[in-house]
Amino acid sequence: MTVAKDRFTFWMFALLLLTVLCFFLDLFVGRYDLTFNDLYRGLFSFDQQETGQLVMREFRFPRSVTALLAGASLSVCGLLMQTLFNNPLAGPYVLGISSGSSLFVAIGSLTGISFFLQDAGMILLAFVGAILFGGIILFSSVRIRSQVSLLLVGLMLGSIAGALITTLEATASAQELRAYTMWTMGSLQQTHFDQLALFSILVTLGLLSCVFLIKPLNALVLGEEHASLLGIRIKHFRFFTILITAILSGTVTAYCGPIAFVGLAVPNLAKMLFKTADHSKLLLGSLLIGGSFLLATDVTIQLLEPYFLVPVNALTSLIGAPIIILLIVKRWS
Amino acid sequence: MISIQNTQFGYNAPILQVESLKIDNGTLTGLIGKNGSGKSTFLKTLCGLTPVLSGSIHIGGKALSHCSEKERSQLVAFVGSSQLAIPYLSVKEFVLLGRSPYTGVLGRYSTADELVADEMLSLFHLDHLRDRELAELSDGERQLAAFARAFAQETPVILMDEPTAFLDYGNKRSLLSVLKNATVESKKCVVISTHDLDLCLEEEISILGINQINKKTIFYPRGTTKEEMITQFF
Repeated sequence: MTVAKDRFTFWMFALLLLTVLCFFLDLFVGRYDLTFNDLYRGLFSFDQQETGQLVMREFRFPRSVTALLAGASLSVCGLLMQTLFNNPLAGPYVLGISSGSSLFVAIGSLTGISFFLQDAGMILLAFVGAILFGGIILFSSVRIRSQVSLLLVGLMLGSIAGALITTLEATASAQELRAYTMWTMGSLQQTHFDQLALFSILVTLGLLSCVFLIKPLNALVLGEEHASLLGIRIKHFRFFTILITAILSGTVTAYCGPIAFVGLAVPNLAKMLFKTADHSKLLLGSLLIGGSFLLATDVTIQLLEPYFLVPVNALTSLIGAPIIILLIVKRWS
Repeated sequence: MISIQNTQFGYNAPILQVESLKIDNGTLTGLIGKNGSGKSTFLKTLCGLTPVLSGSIHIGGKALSHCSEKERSQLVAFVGSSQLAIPYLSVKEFVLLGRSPYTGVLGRYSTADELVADEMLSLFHLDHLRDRELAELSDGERQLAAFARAFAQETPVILMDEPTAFLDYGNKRSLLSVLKNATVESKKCVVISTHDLDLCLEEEISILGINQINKKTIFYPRGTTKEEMITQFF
C-alpha cells in the first residue's frame, strides 16, 4: 500500500512539475522573444502599443491555455470511453465522436448560416454532433459484445461523416472550403483572449463533474453486471458519461478542430505509469499527462515553425499512432 | 435467508419453477443440475439481474423486485463464472470494491471499509497477495479474491455461479472447505452452482437439485443416495 502510494505521489509531483514546465516553455518559445514582464503586464495592465504584450495576450497565452485544457479534456474523455466500453482502444476520435462534431461543424460552416459561424453556434453544433454520434456508439455497444466490432462501428461512423463532409465540400465556395479545411487540421490558435473565458468555464465544469463518475467508473472495471450488483445505476451512469464526453470533446473540437490520438494514448500511459485501476488517480494522471502532452506538441510545432508548418492533428497522430501500435502489439501477441 | 414462493424462472418461457423454497442462514448450499437446466438463470434471478416471470422472491424479508440498486447491493453479492483477470487492479483494490454499496457519492472508503477488506483478505488467506495485480494471480488465488470481495460486501446472501469450474481437483477441495468455514463463521446464506456432486457430499454441503424429470422443480433431496441423485439430476 505504502509503496503504491509513494509511487503515485512521486509521479503526480513529477507530472505537475512537467505540466508547469511545458506551460511556461510553450509561453516563451516562438518567433518573438518575450519576457515575464510581457506576461504579467499583458494579462493585468495591458498596453496595446507594446508588441511584446500584444503577442503574449493575443497569441501565446490563449494558445498555451488552450493546449493545456484541450489536452487534459481529450485525455479524460478517452479514459471515460475506455472504461465505459471496457476497451483500452476507445477514445473520442476512434469511436467517431469527434467525427460527429466535425460533421455538424461542417454543416454549419459550409452552408454559411451566420448563427453557426459564431462561437456559441459552433460549440452547440459540435456538442450536438458529439452527443448524437456518442449515442449511436452507446446504442451499438449495448448490442455488440466484441471490442473490435465496436471500434469498427466507430470507424464506419467516421466514414459516413467523412463522406457527407466531402459532399458538402464539393458544393461549398472556395473561401468556406479553405476555412473548414484549416479547421480540420487542428489549431490551438483559434481561441482568442476574449473567448478564453467561455472555453475555460465549459471545459473546467466538464472536468470537475468527473469526480461524480469516479465511483461508478471504479465499479465498472468489473463489468456492467457486477457494477450494477454493487449498487451502480448503469443507465444513469452511461447517460452522464456520454453527456460529459460530449461537452468536453465537443467544446475542444469546436475551438481546436478534431485532434487525434491524444484521448486514446494518454489514458493508457497513465495506466502504465500508475499501475492502478483507481479512477481518482487515473483521472488526475490523464489530466496532467494530457495537458503536458499537448503543450509539448505545441512547443515542438513552434520550434519547427521557421522550417515548415506542422498542423497539430498531424503531429499528435505522428506521436500517438505509434504508441497505439505498440499497445496493440503488446496486448494481442 | 432466501424464501421463494410460486415463482417461475426464465427469460421468455419458464425453464424452472419453484413452489416453495427456503434457504437458511449459516449454510453453504450446492446447486446441482446438468448443463442448460437453468442453474445460471436461477442464480441471476436471485441476484435481481433477471426479473422473475411470476411469483416473488424475498431476501432477508425484503421483496427483491421492490429493491433499488443500492438496497439490492446490500442484500445480495454475486460471484460470476468468468475470471476477472483485470489488468492494474490490485487484490486489495478489488476486495475494497465490495464496499462500494456503503460509500458515498464520491466513493471514498472509510477506515471501517479498509478494516473489513483487511479482515476478508485474512479470512481467505490472501494477506501476502494484497498488492499483487489480479491479472498476475493463479486461477485459484483469483477465485479466493472473488470470494473475499463478495464477503466484504457484507450481504446476508451470496450467490456464486460455478466458482470452482476452472480449478484443479486439489484447489476445488481446498476452496470449498475455506468457503464452507467462512459461510458458517459469518452466518451467511451462500449458494453455489456446481457439477462436483462428490465434493459436495464429501464436504457435507447441503445439496439443492434441479429435477430433470418432474416439471423442473428445485428441491432438497434429503435422505436420497448418490445414485438416486445422479438419475434425478443428471
